[in-house]
Amino acid sequence: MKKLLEIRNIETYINQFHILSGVNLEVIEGRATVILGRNGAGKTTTLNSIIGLRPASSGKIIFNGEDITDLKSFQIPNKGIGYIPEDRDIFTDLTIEENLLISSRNKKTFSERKELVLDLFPDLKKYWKYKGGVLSGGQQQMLSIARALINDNKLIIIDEPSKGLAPLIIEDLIKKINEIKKTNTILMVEQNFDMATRIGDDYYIIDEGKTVHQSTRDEIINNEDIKKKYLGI
Amino acid sequence: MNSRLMFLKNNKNKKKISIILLFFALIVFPFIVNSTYILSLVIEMCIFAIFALSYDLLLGFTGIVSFGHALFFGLGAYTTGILMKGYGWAFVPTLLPVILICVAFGVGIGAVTIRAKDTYFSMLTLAIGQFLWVIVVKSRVITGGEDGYHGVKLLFDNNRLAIYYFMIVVLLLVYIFAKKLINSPTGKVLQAIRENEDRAGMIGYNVLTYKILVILISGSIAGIAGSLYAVTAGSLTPALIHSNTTMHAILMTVIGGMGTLNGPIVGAFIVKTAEHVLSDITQRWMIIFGIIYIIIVLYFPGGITRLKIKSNKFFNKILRNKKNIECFEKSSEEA
Amino acid sequence: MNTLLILIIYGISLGMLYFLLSSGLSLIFGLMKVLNFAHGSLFMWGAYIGYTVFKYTNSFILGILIATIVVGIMGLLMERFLIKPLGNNHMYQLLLTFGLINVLNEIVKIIWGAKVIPASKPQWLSDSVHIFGNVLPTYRIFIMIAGVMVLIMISLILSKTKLGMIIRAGIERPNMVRALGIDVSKIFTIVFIIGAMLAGLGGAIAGPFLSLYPELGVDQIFYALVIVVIGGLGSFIGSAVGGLVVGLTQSIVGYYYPALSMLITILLMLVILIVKPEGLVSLRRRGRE
Repeated sequence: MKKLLEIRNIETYINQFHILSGVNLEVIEGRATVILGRNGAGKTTTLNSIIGLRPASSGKIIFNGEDITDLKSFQIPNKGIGYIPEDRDIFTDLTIEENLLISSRNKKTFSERKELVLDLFPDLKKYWKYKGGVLSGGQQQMLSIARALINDNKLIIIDEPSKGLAPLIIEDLIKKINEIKKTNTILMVEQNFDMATRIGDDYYIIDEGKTVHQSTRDEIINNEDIKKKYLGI
Repeated sequence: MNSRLMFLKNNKNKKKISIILLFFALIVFPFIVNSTYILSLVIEMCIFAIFALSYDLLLGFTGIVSFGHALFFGLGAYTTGILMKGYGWAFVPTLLPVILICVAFGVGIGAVTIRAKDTYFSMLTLAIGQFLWVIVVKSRVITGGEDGYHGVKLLFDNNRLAIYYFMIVVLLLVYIFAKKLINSPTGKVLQAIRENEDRAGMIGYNVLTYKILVILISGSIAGIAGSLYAVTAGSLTPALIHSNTTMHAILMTVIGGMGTLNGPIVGAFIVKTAEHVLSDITQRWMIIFGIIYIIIVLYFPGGITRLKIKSNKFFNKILRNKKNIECFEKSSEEA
Repeated sequence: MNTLLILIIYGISLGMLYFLLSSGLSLIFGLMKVLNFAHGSLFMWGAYIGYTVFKYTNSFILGILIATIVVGIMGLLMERFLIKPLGNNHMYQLLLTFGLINVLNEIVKIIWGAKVIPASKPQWLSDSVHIFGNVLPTYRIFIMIAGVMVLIMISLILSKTKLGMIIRAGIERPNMVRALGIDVSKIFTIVFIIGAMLAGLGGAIAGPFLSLYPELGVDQIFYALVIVVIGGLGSFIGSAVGGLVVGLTQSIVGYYYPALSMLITILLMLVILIVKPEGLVSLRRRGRE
């Protein structure tokens, strides 16, 4: 039960807006942790604070026993964090190969990891030399995940993987993420409650920039009050 | 509480007294120095203060960076000059076409660039400004080309004393107009655009209209400054339109302090004084200002006038408290 | 027909000169969103340095080389001490680079004087060749070759190297590049140096063609801006396309109606701004920041 990531009471501002005002959470190694919450609750900002794109102004972020709160944004991923952003953010001007090459931090392991990734997402092989712009939404999500898997990361952060995807594709995506879960620790933000509960082990609810609830899967599925109060379901 | 208000009153009185003193000083100034050279210098300062003030409306209050502001100044100067000398107009009527032309240019440039990002406005104003400069240089027949356009009839038959008082009054009027504009609802929207353009748009203001509005107001004031230059200098050269003249406006605004209205005036006085003092010593006086300017942009973006304000922060804080008290009293009265 | 052909060749060589002038500007803007108004002044410095080295060493190529390197170093200093401290404040960066024009111009006046210097061409580029009964100066051919070489070289860097990959990715989504663990700010510095080197190189090559004077930088930034607006601000290939379009227009219009050449160029820019504000070669739309 090793704590891989620990967030202690972080606060984050975007311009003059106080977006996060006390987020706490822990990610246990080998498990999938899911952050739930309404639109605008501060879920994505929490992830951005971890990865350093929106640095926290106070509080601590401990990753793998090391304080990463004040590291520069580009130093944090090098500690072993793969980030899959909300809108995939693949590089449309780069080929699939280049998208993965640019993400790879270690030349030696690239071909080995590449095989692994292509086994998981055979579609990408088909478009290997094509630009990212030609991919469909679902394929872009695959590529975005592949970018995080091309390195031997300790933690994979996924921001709303189901956003804007068709139900059939989401179904496939759930299988893939559960596949990834076998070998990786995952921190995921997800609005789709069904998807979230089919992947996550531990759950946190963020509301108005604060952690308001923490529970296990059974608890979150069965606690109607919490669901109604914070998730509007 | 009471003693604090008393102190405030004293402070306010001080301000009033200093303004009155300043006016008195400005009125008696010509009799003390009694030098045509210095009067001419002050007149030039006033004209450039108006020019810099107009630039501050754009840069300091709306956050629009123009690198071709001199084109309005030049348009004003040449329009007035040519109409007066070539067509025998009196000075004041020329202001109408000057304003019309500046508005037309302002709307044109605004409309073409405003759909794109702000950088385009900076680029296009510089390009159009330099283009206009080439046109003025090349249209020798109309503008006199590089030799300049000479013999514009001077204001008040070149009575420097009269011109001096006139300029002080015009500067004051422009200042009051700018102040009113800044404090008006329109001015608040402009400042909202400066702070965050997207948000101003989201709140429901038509950002484009407001931007074009400030561009044409600022352009017209710059045009008037140019007109005044024409009737006080009598000779015009294409250099008035060149980006170097724009640089002067930027220097004055930034050194004085963007977004203050007082700043550009202070800046104009500093830059013009230094220009006259330093240019006797070295031809390369601009480099000194260039370096000062860069240091200010990097380290004191508030400019010189804000440095002073900072030391007065204490008073400001109290003043703000007083305003709050007034507001509170008003609202309680209404209730 | 022959006249038109020679005009097109002239236009292409002028276009390549314009490409050298504006490509660095566009490259820097594409990645960093910083429009360096002092780019024309860097170009001018390239011209003066190239001229000086050529004068004292008698080697034209060495002049170009040293101009490229020295202006590259100027770019490094500029980025480190003037651009980077202002972070993401693009308004102040604009103001600063505009102010720098003055400083760079004044220093030129101090070192080289304010008078026009007619920079000479090396002996081996002073001839001309005859094509279809028309005279074509070798220096024009040299400009064309140099331009095409730079175009190919930078294109190769952009398309084949890891640095190029990062630049292309950074143009689209700098934050995602950061989130991959890449130090984008270091890449910014490198790109700024490359952009400045391109200006230095272009200036050194253009020197004998334009002759040297302290306002050269201001005059040239005008063309550079027009070209990047036409070609597409931020696009490297766009600066080549824009350069060629302006070069050909000026060469052809300038031959038949010399007075209209600049007017047509400006009109061309305005038409592009109205019809296709993103320029002829537009960057892909940027994603979420």
